[in-house]
Amino acid sequence: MRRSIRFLLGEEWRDLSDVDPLTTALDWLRTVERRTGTKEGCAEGDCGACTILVGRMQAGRLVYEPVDSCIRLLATLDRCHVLTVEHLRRPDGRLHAIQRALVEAHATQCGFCTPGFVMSLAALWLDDPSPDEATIERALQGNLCRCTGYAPIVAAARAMSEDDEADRLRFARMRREAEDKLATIDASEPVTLRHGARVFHAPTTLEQLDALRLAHPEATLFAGATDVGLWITKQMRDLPTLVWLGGVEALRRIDETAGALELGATVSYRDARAPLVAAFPDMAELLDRIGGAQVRAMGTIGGNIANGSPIGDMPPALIALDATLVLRSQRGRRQMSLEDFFVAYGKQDRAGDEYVESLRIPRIAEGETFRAWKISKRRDEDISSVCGAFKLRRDATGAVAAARIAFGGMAATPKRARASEAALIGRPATRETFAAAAAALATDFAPIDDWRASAAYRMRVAQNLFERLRLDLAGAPTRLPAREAAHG
Amino acid sequence: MRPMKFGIGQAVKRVEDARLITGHGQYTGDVEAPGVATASFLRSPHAHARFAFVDLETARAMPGVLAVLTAADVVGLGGVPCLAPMANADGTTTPLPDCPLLCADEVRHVGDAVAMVIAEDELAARDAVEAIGVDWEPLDLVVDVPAAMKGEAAQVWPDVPGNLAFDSGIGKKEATDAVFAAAPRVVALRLVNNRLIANYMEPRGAIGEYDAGEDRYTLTVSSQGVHGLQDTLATKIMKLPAEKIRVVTKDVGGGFGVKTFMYREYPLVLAAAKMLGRPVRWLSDRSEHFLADAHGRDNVTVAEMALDEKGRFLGLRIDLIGGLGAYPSQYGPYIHYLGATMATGPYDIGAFHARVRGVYTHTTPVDAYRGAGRPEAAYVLERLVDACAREMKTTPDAIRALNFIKPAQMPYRTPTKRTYDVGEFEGAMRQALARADAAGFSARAAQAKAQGKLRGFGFASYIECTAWGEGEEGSLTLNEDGSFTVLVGTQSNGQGHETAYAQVVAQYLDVPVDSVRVVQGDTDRVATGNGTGGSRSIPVGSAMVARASDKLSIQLKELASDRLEAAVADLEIADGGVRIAGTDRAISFADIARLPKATPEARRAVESYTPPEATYPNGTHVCELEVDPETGQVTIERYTICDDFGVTLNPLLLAGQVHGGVVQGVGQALSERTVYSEDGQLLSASLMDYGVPRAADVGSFHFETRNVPSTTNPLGLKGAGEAGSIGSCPAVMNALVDALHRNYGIAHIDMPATPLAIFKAIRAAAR
Ligand SMILES: Cc1cc2nc3c(=O)[nH]c(=O)nc-3n(C[C@@H](O)[C@@H](O)[C@H](O)COP(=O)(O)OP(=O)(O)OC[C@H]3O[C@@H](n4cnc5c(N)ncnc54)[C@H](O)[C@@H]3O)c2cc1C
Ligand code: FES
Ligand code: FES
Repeated sequence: MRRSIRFLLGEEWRDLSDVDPLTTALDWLRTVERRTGTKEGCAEGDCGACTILVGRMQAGRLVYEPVDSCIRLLATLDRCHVLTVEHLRRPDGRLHAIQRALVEAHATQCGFCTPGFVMSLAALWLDDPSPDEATIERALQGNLCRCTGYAPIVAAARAMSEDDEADRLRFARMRREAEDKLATIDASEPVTLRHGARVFHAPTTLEQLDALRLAHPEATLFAGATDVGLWITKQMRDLPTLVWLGGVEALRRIDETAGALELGATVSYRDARAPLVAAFPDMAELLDRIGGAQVRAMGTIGGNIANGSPIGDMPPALIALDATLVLRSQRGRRQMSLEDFFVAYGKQDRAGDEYVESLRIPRIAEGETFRAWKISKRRDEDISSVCGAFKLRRDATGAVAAARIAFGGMAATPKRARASEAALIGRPATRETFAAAAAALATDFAPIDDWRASAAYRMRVAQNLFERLRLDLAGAPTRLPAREAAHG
Repeated sequence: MRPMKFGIGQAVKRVEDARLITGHGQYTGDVEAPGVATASFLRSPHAHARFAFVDLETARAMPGVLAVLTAADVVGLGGVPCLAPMANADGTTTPLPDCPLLCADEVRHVGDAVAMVIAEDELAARDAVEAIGVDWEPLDLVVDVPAAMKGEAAQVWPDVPGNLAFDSGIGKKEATDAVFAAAPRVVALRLVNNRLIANYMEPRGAIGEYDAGEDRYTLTVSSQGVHGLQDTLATKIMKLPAEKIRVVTKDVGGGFGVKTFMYREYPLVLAAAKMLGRPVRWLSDRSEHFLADAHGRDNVTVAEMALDEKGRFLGLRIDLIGGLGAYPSQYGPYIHYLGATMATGPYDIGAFHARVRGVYTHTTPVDAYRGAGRPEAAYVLERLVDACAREMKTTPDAIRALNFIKPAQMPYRTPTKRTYDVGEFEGAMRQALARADAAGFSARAAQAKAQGKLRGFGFASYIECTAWGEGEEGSLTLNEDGSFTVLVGTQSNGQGHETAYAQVVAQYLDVPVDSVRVVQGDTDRVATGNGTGGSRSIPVGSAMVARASDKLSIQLKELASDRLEAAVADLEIADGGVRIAGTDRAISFADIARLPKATPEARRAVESYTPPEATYPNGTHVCELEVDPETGQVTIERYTICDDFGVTLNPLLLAGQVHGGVVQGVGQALSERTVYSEDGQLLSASLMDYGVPRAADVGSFHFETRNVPSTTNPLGLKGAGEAGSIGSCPAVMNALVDALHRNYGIAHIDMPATPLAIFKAIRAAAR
């Protein structure tokens, strides 16, 4: 067992044993390292001013992702390659291609948001050398700027890969060197850090995790910390024992079989996107509107489920798809339909020593349609008012043969719309049928009323989704409008 | 003006950028202060309560805690004063409370400060804040402005009945009432101007230091101007000679007006630094920003226009009730009134009267936010003018053209006693409408309709006032190495002043911008100044820098004339030096700086400039948007701006100001909603809950200028920092009302027109 964390900050090793497990990467960078280029704008994952690039070892290669350092715990940087805005400029002082593009486009004013944008763009630059408009927008969803109005930043994103060969070469070299260095750390060795009364465990196998669960049922499990991080930074909660799941490679598994897609609990939104969208094209829009790029790189689907929020975006879709959850403990595995996992507000069917191991999502069959829609106050980086998901099969006559429908934001848990399903099944796919299914929603749900959305609004919008579904099945356009190309 | 490579009008890249883009900016939170301790505040969880401490000792005894201060510890210090009280229309005044540095026994809004903890680090300070024991006795409260005016409402201040801080007027009441009584048509509208929260990306922060040897304080603070803060600290709060307090501001991550003000945390970190004998730093977090920084806007206005049968505006009557929050903030009362002084906008309206009232509620104080009163005024007027067009069954452009002040009427004296020097309002409007392809709108609307979307087209013609009041005194020095230094008392908050002033110097002295250093934000280095605000820095600061540059160029020619053995009249500034005109005999500035006669005085020019009148930028914003009737979602499809900023100093900087301002306006119009619960809790208190626009919410805009140089500004400049946020709200909302009116007959909707609000309006109309 290792009693310290090791990672690369740029090209330099850091080996830290005296780490308070609750320390965020941002606080450490700013106060201990005095690297103040990375900014704090909110400390809750909303603004992206704190964005850094974190390279994570995956099968011997580094995968770089944008990360909100304000809610990323320092201890979870173990075995990573950490890059901050200060690392981008070349040693000769020349600005990085991204930075040059930002200057050219007049994309910074007060400059406080800028380091975060630079790093979000760096992640995009690595992912996609010629991003289209939609890809750029996705990459910037998690960054706020109050001065520029964004257009110049978007323009810089379009131009940032021009004349960037030297930067690409330099980055490739840095990456190779970092991979070689990080490969020297034994990935199978678990890590434990102690600091005063606080402990941090990073097991590397399911067996170690089972044992830790048993020994410390009171411990806080966490994966991406996009929920747990806020408990620390905003609710000031003390979490004396932390167990981090990110080191358990087996939990990151993605299995694509003929009948189903299986996702380990700590697969992030970012990693799940390609297989999920391949299997269920309609997932793209839903996934792309969860948080911003940073939250999607950090947050996990297992965490979204385990967190049990009635407004989490994955459960409705996964319930409609009839996903099965696998819980695990030293006592063994337990499987259940995801819909049965959510018992009541804040209560899930999970024993103290259990954790979510994986998720099995059956593929949709020929003739089945899957749709998911998220309705929120704002298009990006916002919590759902209502999230509705539908799986439907029609028979040869066009009548609805099967339906599974689930909603988030409509009850204390994510929940099936059974009355609506019943109103659809066996009926022709007419306006009347869908209207009846919409009306039936009122028997299943009594949505909450808050200032985010009134109960009446939630109900109405949820009902309207049935009309949208009908139009959609009939081939009418129902997507969020793509923005008209900028004129002038 | 002769075009110079780096001079006025050139699209010079910013000199600030290299620093900011590589993470080397020095914002207050980045400043090193050896031995610094951290302050954290206990803030009221109640909107209105009496309280008593029951346990301070636990917190004081906690590890790492250095001090826990309450009101009793700072009795020697004055409160934070309001500097812009308003008198009532009858000449009387209402008592004006200060905001106490720490509340003694009563809190008046959620977030009001109760105690200050200073500890070794942030964590220890926050833990101690939580350990303070307070006995709260919640009291009756009021959060809604109209409700606060009712007799039975809870009172925020015992000596301010009806919570009415002032009841003022502007214009001629009787004459205006008479015009309305006789007018063939009257169109009225009641509009809410939603309360906003600035949300600059850098929250406020301050570091207090005290030098016992010199008995002198230093405040490093994220501000919009150091001299104003120094003055308030010295004269009102700490009651010390100004030279005992140095105020420093480094890089600032956005201010938008709201970082102008004195806030209680500033004197407190200074006092704590003296008590503890070490620096004390306070950095606001985002949640604190929502509760403890002044909010903006917040009024309810009834506006009426009297018209003749042809649609000519005969009179305008305004009744504005402005929210002040719990305390009168630095300029809070005046801001509501300031808007009314621009109420008649670009129109020739004979009769005018506005009643302006300010009302206290148990909420965070309200003060200037980008535009400060003028966006509110332009919003009301432009919404009303569109309503008039509908009522008169004419088009929005025809009714505006009919009523605009004509160029031939310039200079034009408004009923609010302002003098517009120049302005071609119809020209800007026509140019904007042509550029926006107004003619092609119906085809686009039909196309949208086929896809189930409702398209709307709307615009706003605004005029605003900038750069009034105080002037700037500063200097330009030729340094010994041939570079130049500007000392100026304005304060960049991200607008790029370092570049802009360097360009002015470059215009006169023909040097590259990177040879000019701009020094600002330090009361020790710059003697006087009035900071940034009211879009004043460029028009006022540049005029001062221009004068100093002109003066210095003469001084430098005088120094050069001996060496070049030529008369001053035969010399010209060229290529970074002085040259005998028409020859290649020249001396560089660096060589001039080394001449024996080049004393520091000879190399420095001190100048000042005080504007005789405000400048009046104006223009037209055109918005075209689509509403999704199923969800109430709005997308802005096209946005076109044609503005008159007099003279363009740097087109890049200018477009940046306009663009950023427009997006703030779009945010106000469509998503920024400040929500208080009935018990006074701020519900929209995080970036998740408060809708600051994100990249995908706004597209790209077309911006062009149609400049008519100001005749009152020596460089012809008009201020541009706020105009974007002034033209945008009414343009967006007029476009939205257009879409809703065409399809549902809906003639009114308030800001922010969130999907929910639009959805409700559509439902109500369909019923
Ligand atoms: C800025 C921001 C925007 C967001 N936007 C959205 C959004 O649009 N839609 C949305 O649905 N969510 C959103 N979220 C929340 C979303 O990111 C989380 O719900 C995320 O999916 C949780 O995953 P995580 O790995 O980060 O969980 P963590 O924070 O690590 O953990 C969350 C909870 O799950 C438990 N847990 C985690 N993994 C396991 C496991 N394997 N077994 C048992 N328990 C486990 C933890 O103990 C904790 O209780 C947002 C969050 C932020 C910060
Ligand atoms: S500081 Fe805002 S996202 Fe991290
Ligand atoms: S440049 Fe100021 S917040 Fe982006």
